[in-house]
Amino acid sequence: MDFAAKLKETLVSIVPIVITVLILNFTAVPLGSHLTGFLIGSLLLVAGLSLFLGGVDISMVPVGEKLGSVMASRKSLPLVLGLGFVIGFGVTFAEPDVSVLASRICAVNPNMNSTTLTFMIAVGLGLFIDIGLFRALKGLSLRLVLIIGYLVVFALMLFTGQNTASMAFDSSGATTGPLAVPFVLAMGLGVSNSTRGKEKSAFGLTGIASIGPIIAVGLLATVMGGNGSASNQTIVATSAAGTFSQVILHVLKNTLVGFSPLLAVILILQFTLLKFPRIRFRNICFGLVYSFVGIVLFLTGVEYGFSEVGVMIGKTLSEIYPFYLLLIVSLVFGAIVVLAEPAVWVLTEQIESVSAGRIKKKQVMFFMCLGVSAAVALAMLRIQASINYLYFVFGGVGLALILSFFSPSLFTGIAFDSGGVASGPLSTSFLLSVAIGASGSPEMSFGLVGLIAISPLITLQILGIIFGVKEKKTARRMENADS
Amino acid sequence: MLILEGSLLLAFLGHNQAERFASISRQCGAGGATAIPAKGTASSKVLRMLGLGDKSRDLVLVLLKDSSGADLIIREAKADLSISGVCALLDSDEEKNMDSKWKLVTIIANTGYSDDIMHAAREAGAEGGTIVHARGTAPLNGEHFLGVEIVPDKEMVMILCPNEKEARITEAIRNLDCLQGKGVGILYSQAVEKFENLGSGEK
Repeated sequence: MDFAAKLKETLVSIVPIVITVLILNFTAVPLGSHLTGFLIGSLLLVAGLSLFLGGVDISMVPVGEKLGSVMASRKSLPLVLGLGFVIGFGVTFAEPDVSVLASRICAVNPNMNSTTLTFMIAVGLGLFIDIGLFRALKGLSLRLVLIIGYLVVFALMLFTGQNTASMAFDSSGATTGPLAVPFVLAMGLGVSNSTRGKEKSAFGLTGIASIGPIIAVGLLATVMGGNGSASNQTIVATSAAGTFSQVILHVLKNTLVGFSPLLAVILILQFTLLKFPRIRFRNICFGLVYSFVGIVLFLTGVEYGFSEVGVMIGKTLSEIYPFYLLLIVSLVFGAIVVLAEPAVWVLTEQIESVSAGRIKKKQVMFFMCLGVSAAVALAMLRIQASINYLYFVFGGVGLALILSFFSPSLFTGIAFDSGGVASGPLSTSFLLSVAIGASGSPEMSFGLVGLIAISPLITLQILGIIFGVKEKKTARRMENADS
Repeated sequence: MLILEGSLLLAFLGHNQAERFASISRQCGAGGATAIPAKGTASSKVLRMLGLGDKSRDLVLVLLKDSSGADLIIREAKADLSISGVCALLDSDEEKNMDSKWKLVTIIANTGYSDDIMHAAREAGAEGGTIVHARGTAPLNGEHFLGVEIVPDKEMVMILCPNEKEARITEAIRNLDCLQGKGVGILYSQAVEKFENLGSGEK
């Protein structure tokens, strides 16, 4: 890992957020004493993000890729499905966002039980990782699997109504966070590296896996009953910001709980299936340490500096100023927050390397920004005008599925992978806090994370269509030059 | 399809420098260039010990009708401050290779072995190396799983070294524990007609 280069890149991606918050501080939303916390948080974010990314590069990514390729070459379906399920299941418990979200959902819907909910999400993810792996191995059409998956989702959502729908989509966005994504992504790459037809199946595993939790939560809500609409509890989701040491201890504990199953899985795999040689294994161990320290610093920065500031911004803007100002701020935040999401970086780097540098990191990030920016603004609009969430789901996902007929299949895979990736810890705490502050109730703010997850499905496939057209033109020019 | 018999110019460059080098080559008369994303290792021993040695690199291949074109490209690339790395020219003409002072050692092995290969090579005196991700092609009627052909995932390690170090380096790699099994990898050496440092003298 080139730490200096990573540091520079992450610094550039976090500066816009800092500048925007500073501008707000001196104009519309004076933050007072919270400003210092925010600035310390930003520094932690930069340090944590670069350390995490560098660590992932030399630990989760090589392990995941090797695992995928070993799975394929062992030629045992039970092994593939068994491992896929165990990893999907374990990774859900590793994501700190999932338990936070589960307890929030249960607070709104008393019929649900937080442990059962997390368990269901884990089972859902495990099963759909199996489906995704099977597809990648078999080389089945990604579009077909996605269409069938989302048709089931649509049917379920018609049945359960918008509150469950928003929770279900949020759960899916939260599950595919910074710990799960690098591993799952690399596993998909590994499988496709070892089978014929590389580009076609390199992406899409994360996208298919994201469907699992949606269906799981939908089913659970149907069985348990209750739509949660009656409750008027006012529970603020963000963990009450304590002193710095309290926050870091809290994050450390949560991350350790999440990290240990992942660590155990990697160690067991090393001694049974993977058997990396000495120096590589040593580097992987270092990488795991770096990514652990990195994600702890990152999450501490987010919890300590960003959540409170988010609530303040959302609250002040919606109470004092006309609605359009909140809308503009949401557009801006949506666009710049994605740049600082850890999983987004991992994905875009993978895209660059799989496409041998043809598809640049910057292009993908730009189109993701466009999408998320629109998503956050739409979510605020929905809070303001109380629009039915199902319109967004059917419209958004429906459009994405239609676009998949026109976009190159590589981009369809990338787009559906990006969905879960765009909604990481920064959007679940910072943007969500803005939404909670603006809406005044946690209930209406559900759905924001889900919307963020839906938007890249559309914008990245549009990028794909543009890319396809351009590439055809270049090919034609090359032909002419040859003859 | 265009078939050329001549020499192959390999450029091991810093990240995202491939496009610049390719356009220089084209200006100097080469038909085109092929860019491959690669990984290099840092020269600092401390960084490598801590597992922080990996760097993104670009590898560019340029086909030339004869080696005289390479001189021009190398001169222009050296003048360009945004480019750093090394250049090696491989010639199909064997006579020219007789008095070459450099060797290109290439190892193609199963994925996951490159760190250990580079470690051994450096212990034996290599100053650097470039790693490219690759995959083998399945043999005819190869292995199938669920009706899909399975191909082995590979890493290719390229090490440029002076002639006198070549024997020690290949020996060290050959003796690696992880390369003792059957079919885990292959190693070959090629004579390099010309070797040049570009830009900041980085190797």
